[in-house]
Parts: sequence; structure tokens; C-alpha cells
Amino acid sequence: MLLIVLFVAITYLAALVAQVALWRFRLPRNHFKTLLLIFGLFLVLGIVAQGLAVDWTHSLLFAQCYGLLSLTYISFYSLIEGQSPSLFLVLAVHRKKAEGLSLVQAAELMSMDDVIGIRLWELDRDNLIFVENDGYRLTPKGIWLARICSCGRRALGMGKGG
Amino acid sequence: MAYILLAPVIGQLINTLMHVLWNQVAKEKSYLISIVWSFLFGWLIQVLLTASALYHCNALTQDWIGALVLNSMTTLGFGYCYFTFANLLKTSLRIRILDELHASGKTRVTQSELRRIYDTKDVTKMRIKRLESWGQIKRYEDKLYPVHGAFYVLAISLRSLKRLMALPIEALK
Repeated sequence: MLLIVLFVAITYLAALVAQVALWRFRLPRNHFKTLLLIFGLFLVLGIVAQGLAVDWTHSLLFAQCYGLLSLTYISFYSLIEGQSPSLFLVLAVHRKKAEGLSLVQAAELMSMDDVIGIRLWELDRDNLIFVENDGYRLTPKGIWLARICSCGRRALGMGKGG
Repeated sequence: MAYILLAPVIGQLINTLMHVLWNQVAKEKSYLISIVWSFLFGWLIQVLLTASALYHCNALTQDWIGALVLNSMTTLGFGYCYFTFANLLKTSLRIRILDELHASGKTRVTQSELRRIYDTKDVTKMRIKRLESWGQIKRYEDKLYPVHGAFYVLAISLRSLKRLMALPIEALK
């Protein structure tokens, strides 16, 4: 069992190093697809190495743990890549120190002109929405995702997000 | 072996169930507290299930340590993915846009209509209120002041990671 923990740690670290090296060499066009590819490739390598070294039941434990940690990193990566308005606001408040950031300045900072445009472009890029006669509509994939989110929000008793 | 493999899955199911129940039943809804307690409860169930499986197969000490560490890492992974999902529902602008488009049914929505529905002032107020209630900024009269909280550390760490990965960094005025 300790060997599996070691395998997970080494494979995970190797995948992280490969990702950073690739990013520094050249930024990929689609970050998430490339991340899935890198972590998927190392998963296969790890499973093969595990299977040869111990047995296939241990490989399942390895795959479960490594797979979940990879998903954790991939979802954390969206925080690194994207610009979270809340974190941006926290940084701006810290930049002002004792002088303080006025609410008017905060509102200007959070101005949605860029943010809405960028989000719409990203949703279009990910095939969740499409443009039709100067307006936006959901694709079937977008409808499916919106339904899941709506169910999740109802289950957790949340209001509208954003 | 199957019990050890299933323990984190069952732990996560318990975590999700407890979080949903908490949010449906509790009168005072504290988002972070409900997330943390549900996760800890799910993790405890996972540890008990793993320990029970190891006890029944007379495992060696190193197997006890290995299985408990491995399953705790897996549970942490499950917990973080669930936290990200719940967080997306609460804070994501993209999900909010999808929601507004879904609510409009088959009618198309223009960008100016989206900007009108998505009231900037309300969203800014909501985010400031959330950061204040989480103890990440302080508000005095009409000004916001810094607090050395987890969000500041996270924001600085994320900027460092961006630099490490040669990703573009947005300028701060």
C-alpha cells in the first residue's frame, strides 16, 4: 500500500513538472484539453508500471487516487488561468493599504463591460452557447449543463449565483 | 480490497448527502462551515470503513498506514472537486449567464439584455458582502480595507504560479 502512495506521488509530480515545462516552452491553444492529455498519459504510464510491479487490483487504487488528484489540479488550474473578480478585488484592496478602496472604485474595478464579454466568448468557444441574429442561445450541451446547475442549486438551497 | 476501494466513494456520498441536508434544513446557512463539517464527517466515515476492511484482513502496519494515507488523499480529491462544483454554482459568472439564457427559454438574448439582467451593482454588492462575511476584507463607512486572510495568500500564490507557467498577468491599477 505504501508503494502505491509513493507511485501516486511520483506520477503526480512528474505530470506537474511536464505541464509546467510544456507551458514555459509554449502555451497550448486549449489549456484544459492539453491538461487532460498530460495527466491522462501519466495515468496510463502509472497504471502500466503499477500492473507490472505489483498487481492489477493495486492499479485500481492507484488510478482512483491519481485520477481524483488530477481532477483536483485541473479544477484548481482554472483559478490560476482565469481572473477571479473576488481575488482581483482582494488584491486591489491590499494595494491601497490604509488609504482604503472606495466603493465607487470597487464598482469600477468590477465593471462588467469586459467580464461579460470575456465570459460570453469563453462559453461560445466551449460550444455551450451560439450566436444567432446578434443574440445568444444555448447549445444542447449548454442546456444540459444549465439543467445540472439548476438542480444542484435547488438541492443546496442557493439563490442566483455570480 | 473492494471495501478499501469503495470507502472514499461512500465517504463522498455521505459528504454530499450531509451538505445537501444541512442546506435544506438549517435556518442559519453558513456556506463554509457546512462545507467543512460535511467533508470532515465524510472523511471520518471513510477512515472507519477503511480501518474496518483492514482489520478484517489482518493487514500489516505498513498496509494500515498506506491504505489510510491513500484513501485520505482520494477523499481530499473528491472533497475538493465537490467544493469546486458547489462554489461554481454560487459564484461563477459563466454559470449565471447559462442560467439566464436557460430561463429565457427558446428566445435569444442579446448582449445588452444580458448586461441589463446581470446587474453590475447587485453583483458587486454581493461579492463585497461575501468577502466581508468570510473575513477577507473590512468595510468602514464607504471604504474597503485589507485583512491578511486566506484569500490574499491565495491571490498572491496564484500570481506566482502564473509567473512560473509564463501565463499573462492582469495589471492592477
